[in-house]
Order: sequence, then C-alpha cells, then structure tokens
Amino acid sequence: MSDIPMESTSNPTGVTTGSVSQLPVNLFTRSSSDAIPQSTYFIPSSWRRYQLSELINKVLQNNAEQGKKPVPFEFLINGEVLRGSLENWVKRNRGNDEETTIDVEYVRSTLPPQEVGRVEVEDWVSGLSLSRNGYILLSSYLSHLQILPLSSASTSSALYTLPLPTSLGATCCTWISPSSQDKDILLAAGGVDRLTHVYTIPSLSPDNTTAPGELYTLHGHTGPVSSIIASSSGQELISGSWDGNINFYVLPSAEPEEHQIPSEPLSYLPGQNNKKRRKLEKENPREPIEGLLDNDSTGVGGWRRISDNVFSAHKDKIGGLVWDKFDNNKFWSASWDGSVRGWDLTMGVNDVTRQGPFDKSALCIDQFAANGTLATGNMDRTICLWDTRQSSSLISLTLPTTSPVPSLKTHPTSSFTLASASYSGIIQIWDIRSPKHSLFSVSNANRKKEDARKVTKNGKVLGERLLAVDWNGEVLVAGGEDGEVGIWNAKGA
Amino acid sequence: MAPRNATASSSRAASSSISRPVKSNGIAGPSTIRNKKRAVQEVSEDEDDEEFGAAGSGIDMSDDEDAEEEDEEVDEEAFPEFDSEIEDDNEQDGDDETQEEEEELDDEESGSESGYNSSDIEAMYGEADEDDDQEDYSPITSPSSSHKELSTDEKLSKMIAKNSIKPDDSLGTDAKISRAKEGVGRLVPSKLVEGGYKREYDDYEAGYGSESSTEDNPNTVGNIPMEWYDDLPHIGYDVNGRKIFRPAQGDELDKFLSNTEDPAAWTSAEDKLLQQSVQLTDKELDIIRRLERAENPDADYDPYQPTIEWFTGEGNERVMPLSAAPEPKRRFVPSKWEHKKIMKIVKAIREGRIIPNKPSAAKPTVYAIWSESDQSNLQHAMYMPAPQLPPPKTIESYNPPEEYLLTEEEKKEWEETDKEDRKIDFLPAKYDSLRLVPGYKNLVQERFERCLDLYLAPRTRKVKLNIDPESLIPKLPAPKELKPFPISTSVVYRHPESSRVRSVSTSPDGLWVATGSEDGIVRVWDLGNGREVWKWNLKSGAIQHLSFSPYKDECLLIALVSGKIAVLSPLALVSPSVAANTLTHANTAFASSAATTKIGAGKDIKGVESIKWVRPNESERERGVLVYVEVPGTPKQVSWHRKGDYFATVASDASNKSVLIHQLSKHSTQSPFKKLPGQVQKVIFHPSKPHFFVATQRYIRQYDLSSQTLVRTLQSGVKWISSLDLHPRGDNLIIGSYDKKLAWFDLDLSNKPYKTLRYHTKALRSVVYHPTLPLFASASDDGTIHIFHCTIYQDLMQNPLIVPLKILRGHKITDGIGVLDLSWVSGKPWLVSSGADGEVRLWCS
Repeated sequence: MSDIPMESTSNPTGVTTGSVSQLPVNLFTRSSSDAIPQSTYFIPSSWRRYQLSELINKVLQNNAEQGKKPVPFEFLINGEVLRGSLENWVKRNRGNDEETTIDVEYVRSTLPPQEVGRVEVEDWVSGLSLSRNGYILLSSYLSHLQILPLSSASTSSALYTLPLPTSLGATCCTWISPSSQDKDILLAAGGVDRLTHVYTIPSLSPDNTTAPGELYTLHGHTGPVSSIIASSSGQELISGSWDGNINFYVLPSAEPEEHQIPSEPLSYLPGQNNKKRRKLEKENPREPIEGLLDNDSTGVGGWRRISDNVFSAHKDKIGGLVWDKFDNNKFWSASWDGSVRGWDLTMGVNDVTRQGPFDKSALCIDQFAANGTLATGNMDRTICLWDTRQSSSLISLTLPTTSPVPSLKTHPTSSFTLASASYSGIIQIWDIRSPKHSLFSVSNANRKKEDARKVTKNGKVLGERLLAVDWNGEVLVAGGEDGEVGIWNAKGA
Repeated sequence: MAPRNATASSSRAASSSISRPVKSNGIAGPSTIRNKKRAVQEVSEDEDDEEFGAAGSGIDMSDDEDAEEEDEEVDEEAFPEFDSEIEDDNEQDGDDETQEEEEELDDEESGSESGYNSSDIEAMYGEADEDDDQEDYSPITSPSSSHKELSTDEKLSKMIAKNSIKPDDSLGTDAKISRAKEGVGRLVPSKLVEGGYKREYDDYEAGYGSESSTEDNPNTVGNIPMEWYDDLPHIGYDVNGRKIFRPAQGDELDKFLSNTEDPAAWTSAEDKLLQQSVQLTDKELDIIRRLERAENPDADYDPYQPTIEWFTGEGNERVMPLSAAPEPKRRFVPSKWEHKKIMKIVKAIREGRIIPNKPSAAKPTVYAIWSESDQSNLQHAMYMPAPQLPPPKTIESYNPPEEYLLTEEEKKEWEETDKEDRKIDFLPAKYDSLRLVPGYKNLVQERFERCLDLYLAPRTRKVKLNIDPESLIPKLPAPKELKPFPISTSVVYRHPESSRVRSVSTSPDGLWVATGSEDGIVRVWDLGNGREVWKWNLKSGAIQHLSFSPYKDECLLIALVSGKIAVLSPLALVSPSVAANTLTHANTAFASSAATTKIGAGKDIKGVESIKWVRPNESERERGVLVYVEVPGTPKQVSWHRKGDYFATVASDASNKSVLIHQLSKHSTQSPFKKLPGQVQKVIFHPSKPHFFVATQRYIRQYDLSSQTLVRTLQSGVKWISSLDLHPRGDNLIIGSYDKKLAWFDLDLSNKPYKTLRYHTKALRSVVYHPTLPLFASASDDGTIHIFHCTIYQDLMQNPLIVPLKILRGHKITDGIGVLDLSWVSGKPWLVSSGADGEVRLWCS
C-alpha cells in the first residue's frame, strides 16, 4: 500500500508505534501550496491534531533549516474538525472499525479570536463597519453614528459623533467614500425614520476643526431602512427597506442648491396649521437626545434627495444587501420572503432569483470574495450558502446555529471562513468545510460579569443579543443589545 | 352371497350390473335386452310401490293405475322368460368358460363389488310379486268390508278426488278455436273497404273458472286500506279502469229500518271493497258457524272416519302367509358366480398367489419403541393420530445448565405475568440429584388437560384482544411533514421591571408588535430584533387588551384601560400616506373647530349617554393618541371588524352596556343588546358575514347584525369560556376555557363541539387561528403554548384535520399565571406570546 514515512525515532512526541494500533489515513488538502504526496499513511491511533500538524510540516519541510516557519494545521474528517485523538474519532464514528481508510482533509489553522477591548455605548448597537482601516464606524439606536479609532478603542473616546435628526434610532451604517479618500469623507446611516442620512467629514485627523454635518437626506422609503451599501467608487448608494423596495441613489458630485422634494409634514392633525407648529419649535428648540455624552444636539437634515431608481420585487422586508464583489454593476439582496435576488444596475432589472422557503427570512447577506458564493443569516436559525452560478441549485449548504443570525461577514480573502453573530449573543467563526460545528464560538452571555449593566442611563433594557458584526480578516467587531462593541483579534485563513 | 334386503333405491345399480356379464360375453340376444328392459321396469315399479307404502295417501294415483296394468302384463310373461334366460346364460357361460377365463377374472371384482346377481333380482322380484299379489287381492277382499259404509273402491275414488284436485281444464279444451269456421259472426259492411264485408263476433266469454273472477264489476283497486278512498267519490276501479262510484248509502235510520224489516239483514256483511252489504250464502254461514265452534271449516271433512280394515278383521284373514309359487329352478342348480369365484381361487392357488396353510409370521421379540409401524390402524382413511407432546427440553431437566435458570428479576416477572402469557409454564429449578426433586404438584392438572387435548374437548379459551395499540391511534401526518410552524424562541421583547404583559398584537404588515402591560404603558416593538421603538403611557392603570386594526392601509391600535378606550397610532413609524389615512379616518368625525369632546352619536339609543368620544390634548396627539372613548366599566376585550371601521368592546362589569360596537369614522357607539343573556366574556366579528359572536360563560351566540336576530347558540360544554377565535374562513370556531379545555366547533356541523381537547394542565388564556396558514395555537396558565395544525377541507363531508405539532415552553409561571396572550405574525408561521413574567416572545419556525 504505502510506506510509513515516520520511524519511531523521528516521532516528535516519542510515541512508540509498536504498541499502538495504526490507522490508514489519507491526508489531502485543497490548497496547492500545502499539498503533500498523495498516499495512504499508517498513523498511530493516539495521534492528535498537534502530531498530525507536525507530520505535515515535516513532509513540507517547514522547519528552521529551510527558513520556513512551521504552520499549524486543522484536520477535518467528514466535515468535522478533529478535536481529540484519531482513536477517539474512530471509536465515536466508526465503531472501532480500524481498517477502513480515513480521509482527512487538512487546512491552515485559524487562531481563536482574542478579545482586545470593549467600547460601551449608551444604547443598542445596530450597525458596524470596518471598511476603513483603523476606524470603527458604528450606528446605534440612540440615533447617532460614531467613529472610533481602532487603536484607542478600549478608551471608548469617539472621534466623531454624528446625531441623526430623529429619536427613533439608526439601523445601519456604511462608509461611502473609498478608503483612499482622505478628505470630505462621506458616510451614511439608515434610520427607523425611513430616511438615509449621508454625512460628510472633512478629515479624520484628530486636529480637525470644521464640524461634520449631514449633507443629504435620502427620501423614498415608506418603511424603516434596513440596510445600506455604497459602491466602491463612493458615488452610488443603495438602501433596502422594510417596505420591500430597494432604492438606488446617485450622489451628486457637487453640493446641490435646492431640495428635490418638500419636507414631510411634521403633524398630520387637521385643524393644526404648520405655522403654530413652527412657532412652537422655535420657542422650544429640540432637546438633545438623552444619553449622548458630548452634548451633541439632534442633527438637522441635509439636502433632501429622492431615489434615482427603485427596485421592487421582494414581497417582504429587505434583510440585507451586498454589492457583488466581481461586478460593480451588480448587487444582491436578501429578503424576509426567503428569496435572494441579484440585480443588474445598468439594466435596472432583477436577473437572478433564488426563492427559498417562505419562512426562511433572511436577515443579512454577504458574499465570499473568492468564489462569489452568497451567505445569508436567517431567522430560522441557519446560515445558508447560495450558489448563484449554477441555475439549478438553491441552498448549497446550511450551517445550523442556535438562534437567528442578524449579521454575518465573510472573510475578505478566504473562500471558506465567515463570522456570524446571533441573537443568543454568540459570535461564531465558521469554516464551511466543516459545516456541522463552528470553528470557534465566543459567547457574550458567558462573559457577562456580575456588575454588567442591565439598563442604560436612559432606561433602555440591555440584553445579550448581537445585532451587528464586522470582520476585516484581522479584527472582528460585534455589538448589539448589550450596548457594547467587542473587539477581537481574529485572523482567518 | 349378496344382501337380500337390497333396497329399491339401489336397484338401479343392480340392473346395470345385471347387464354387465351379458355385455362382456358379447352374445346378448334380443331377448336378453328385452329382459333387461323389463327388469328395469319392474325395479322402477318396485320403487313406486314402496313409495306408495311410505307416502301413504299422498301419491299420484294415475301413475299407479298404469303401473298396475303393466304389472299384470309382466306377471304373465316375466317368469318363464327370465328363467329361460338364466338357463341360457349358464349354458353360454359353460361354453365360453375356457375361452374367456381371463375376462371373467377381470369381471370378478366388479361382480363381487356390486354384490348383486340374477338370483338377487329374482328374490326381489319375488317380493315385488308378493306386493303385487296383495294388491291384486285387495279388490277381492274389499267387498268383505263393504258392509260398513262404502266399498273400498268408492273410498279410494273419494280419496283420489279429494287429494288430486286438478284445475278444470275442460273449459279450455272445449273452447272453440275459431268461430269464423262455424259462421257464428254476423256480416257487417266494412267501413274501410267499400262494398266489402266484415265479420263481427260477440264478445268472448272470459270463462274464468274460479268463482271470484266471475263476479261482476270487481273492484281492482288492490289490497290497500280502503280508508284511502274515504274522501273520494269513487271507491276504486273496475277491470276496464273506470271509476267505481260509491253506491248510495242510507243514513243510520235507513240502516235501522233495514235491520228491523229485512229478515236477512243480520246475515249480511259489508264488503269493504265495494262498499255494499252482501248477503252471506248458506255455505258461508255454515263456515262461520263451524269457525265459531272451532271446527274444521270444511263441511266435507269427517273427523270420525271409520277405520278401513284392509288385512284384518273378519273375511280379510290371510289364508297363506307364504307365496305358493313353485321354487325357482335356480335354487337347485349350482351357482355360476360361486363357480367362477372358486375357479379364481383355484387358479390363484395353481399360480402360487395363494398359499394354503401358510404359517403365520412370527412376531418380533424386540420392538422399536418410537417407530410408528406398530400402530395397526394406520391404513384407516379417517385415522388421525393423537397429537404428540413435544420432546422434553434441556430447560425441563431437573439439573439444567446454569444459563437456563431464571434470575430473580425474571422470576418476579414470570410470577407477575398471567398464566396464559407465560413463555414457559414452569420455573426451571436445579437439583443435584434426582432424588431431591420434589413432587410435581401440577401433574394431575397437566395430565387432565392432556387428556382433554387428546379427546379434542372444547374448552373455554380466554380470548385475548390481539390488537396493536398503535393501530388504534388515528393516522395523523407527522409534524415534520406539516412544517413550517413555530419551534423556538427567536426574539424576546423585554419589559422593564417584568410587569405582567396582558395583551399582545402584531401589526397587519408584520413589522411591529404592540404590547400592553400592567404598568400602563403601551409599547411598540420592532418585530425582527426586539427593539422598543415607541410607547404611550396611558396613565390609567393596566392595559387590559390591545389590538391592531386589520386594515392594512391604516395603522390603528386600540388599547383598553379602565373606563377608556384609546385609539392610538405610531405615526412616526409609518409612511406618510398611511399616517394621513389613519388620521383622516380617526379625526373626520370631530367637528372641524376646536371641539374636543363629542357625546356619543347614538343619543337616541337609550343607555349610551355616558359614552363620550374625547379628543386628547395636543401633546398626546403629537405622540399619536388619536381618540379616547370614555365608556362605563373596564373594557376587557376589543375585537375589530375586518374592514377596520367598527370595533366591539366587552366590559363585563358594565351590566347591560358590556358589549358596545363603536364606529370610528362616525365616532358613534351602539349597544346592540338591551339585555344580555349572561356575563359576556368575548365577542368577535364574523370575517365575511355581518355576524357577531358573543361568548358568555358557557354558550356562544351567533347574531346576525343586519337582521338583528339570533342565528344559533353553540353549547360549549365547558364551564367558563376564556377565549374565542374564529377561523378566517368563518366556518370554524375554537374556544378556550378556564377548565383546561379547548373546544372546536364546526358551525356547519353542529351546535356542539366537533372536538374537545384537553391537554393543558391549567386554564387556557388564549386561542388564536393563524390568519392565513393552517395553524392555531393555545396558551395556558401552565406556561406552555400548544401549536396545532388544522386543515379545513373544502369538501364538507370531510372533517377538519387537527394535528398537535409542538409544545412551546419558555414562559415562566409567576403567581400561577403563565402565558396570557398570543398573536400570529401575518404571512409567517411565527407566533408572538406574552406572559405574566414580563416577557414577550417571538417564536419562529
């Protein structure tokens, strides 16, 4: 069959092969750089991940003499990560059948996330973005956007706090301007008030003096905004709403002179004219929102703009949107009606439709950068992968979770790993090659200390639910009902 | 040789066997055939005679007469011929013997089997002769008995006449075939052929033989009660189908007069069929008289007939008991058949097939005990061996191996099972030596039962119902096949201080959840992530109940507090067009000026004066409080009409104004019931008809609001109804009760529940149908929610299918109260429940 590549002398752990039974093992990998010669190895049944990893490194000659660092590997058998010894696995899954060859896939190991810091916010965190290196953008139900520098994140001093002109709360946020742009940076937040607010920040340097402000207010939705995404050029913005519509906005290159639509009436009560109302408003200017730290007043609206295009095909709330990572003229949407649709911006049509079960309400969507597979987090406690290239396939893989997944983020480069946050307060990092269990899971609820806040200063009840997660391959941030943004160092392969 | 007492019935076989040797010889002359025929005839006559003897007077005499005639003929010829035949046969046999020995040998068997030969036939014939003789004698002897009354002949003919009543067919035969030949008809000029003539005849006499059919004018109405014609002028129809009119009837006086004057009146009877009185004939009167005396109604019947002495008595003595016929010749000649038989034996001895004086086989001294060869009667066709006992097994040994012994548990189990159910009927025990084995106490009983087995004695058997209990459970589809339905908690809407949440409602677009808790605050939550987005503090005690308007173009919420109904709308959350619709709907009825209060529009209706539609103050209006309706008592339930304009409230402590129907667009309130049948628990509008359901403690009444009538009363069979919901199609209704029951009513089926389910361990608080999917849920004080699937078929013949799907646990029981209210999310298989623990949960599939 095969030669045994290891003698007992070269066995790094010193386990003697004579007394221990040996198992036929087929080691293979999908990455070309780490491939070892294909054959069946007889491996002592007491070996664990570490020994197997050493073996592969030895075969690859990743040692100091060759000038390469040993790489830790994870081993997957039948889509399950090997946690104990091979012997245990055989006992559990094969009933002591030691003769059948075991196919073991090995992948470069992902290190478990390590908590770096936490930032307290006075209300629920609704959206997070890490797309600009070194900064965290967060939106919260306190109706404001905050920009936190990642370096001093643990001190929780916000670089900017941008209030929304509403008290209902912001639901999502995004950077609009590309990372290369340093000045007059645009960013946006969607609110429960059915509007998308676009802000401009002169510069992110701390010694900036000019105040940031709301530049545009994007109208058009009849329900709260659930998701906004910006194109890579920073000129287009797409927002999805609870009314099932997706609005497409093109931001003007120069600041406009006038509003596109009149303002919405503040009161609909008959017999109450607006004059009186305005007078009242003048007398009692709007009070600052409770809980904001630096006495920021409620923001005022920017230039009112209407949408340039409306895409409507979904029959329920839009859960999430994602711009296609290969085609700038394409984006994907996931909805509560259980469907995932692909839209062509140039034609303005819905060209791909994948309709899942009607109760598989998707709360969020993301796309793997490597192969274009879509991942949705669903209300029915699953993460579904949608293969959009094949016309026949619907849901290619389902990862089971314990509670609904309101937010997930794929690894920016890998085609296998993704991070998800769930309503039960657990952040999980998945390798889709091992769909039964997540690679790591970090629970918010377990970490809670005795003196943890139950209620914020303004009386909001806090819980353990997570609402937002973002991951740029290095840093992972997650926040939610607990009013905190947790920051972890998590490197995915 | 052959049985002489051969019965007549087997004589046919005999006749065929007679013909056999003749045939085989192949020289049968015509005389033999004749003889054979005759023999057959005679035999059949024999049969007849015997039948006559057996059947007595019940025989057909016409045949008998023929038989007698024939008998006489045969008597004359048969003897000599038959005898000569036999001689011939013998002679022929003698000639042919040597040639046809083998054939004879073949025939030997059949001859012996059938067991008849000519002598037997003759013997029989002789008997028959004797019978014939007797009959022949009887006319001779009969005159001796004639001195009594009638001659035997007369008696016989009388008997014949009595017993063989034949329809009088003389009329039929006498009837002329054609009267034209006789020229009876008269010639009449033809109507069709000019100058031609046509013969016309008188009508045929029907000539029915029976008396009844010759009656004139019979009523052919049939055997029906004649009262049917009581109020008709006619009493039936004659043969031609014409009506027979009622004959004139005299009055009572006429009847009386006729009774007194007419001497025959007392012997007349009324014929109901013809409605007239008929004079009874003497014969009929005689029959009546006889019947009265309990006699045979037949006048000719003589119960005291004299005995006819055929063979006894004076003059009938028999002179000679034996036949005087001379001995037949065959008695003296050696038998041909015996000769054949002997010859056969001789032949067999010669050939060595029979060994005379053969010594009998010596019995073996040793037997094979288990062999069955010694069972002598094995060849018997009906032999059935006794069932054998099974051979003993190891377990039955007095010293079985250890593994056969029962453990303590097995012993206990053995003792507990019924005697019939035990796998082994003894307890295996181990003894070191046979002498230690105690006496077997069941021996006698066992032997007795074995005897009964061998005897095939039927014994009563304990009939065990061998029914698989699984098969009795109705076949329900598995819950897996009925997905989706709510399975687990996805979102928890947390209330501060865990105040009891009495009511929950989801908006018709499935975006918002409104809850009303005991701290007096109505909260609106984001359904998807559990964020509290809006709230109203109504500041008047606990929120009793709240409900979103089912109308999708408006966003209206009604909350009930003590003495007030609040119409609310989360204006900031909804789109401007919806907000405008809502405001227009709720506010148009207010006077355009600043009038803030409006007294109930139904002023003319007695009892609604105290109901006021009040405009809230400006700060409240800004928050979205649109209208307050001040009502007596504490309203406990609100139910919307599907169009979102009318809503009904129930305040059980407001006596006769407990049920109120409000119209939002006109700000008017009506009290539909002047007097209520009891304490009203819940009300609900029919989803499509103008009907209104009112649930009191035990009954549900369905009213038609347009015609103001009670349609039906449903008898729930529960003690106290707590909740009520109507299927969105309107034909089915479920109620929950405080006595732990849930009852399903099929309104088309019955006023009683189609099904009453009892599965909660505590009082039910809420039952709800899903607005679109085939699901319903019930919540109870035991902290659980039960989810059911319910398919209602379009086919009215098929009962609704109810399948329990899931028990949702999660709500904590606080102060004995568990889950208080339920609400389905429209369009999704999701359920929102509120509990006494201050939690509102969203259950997702």
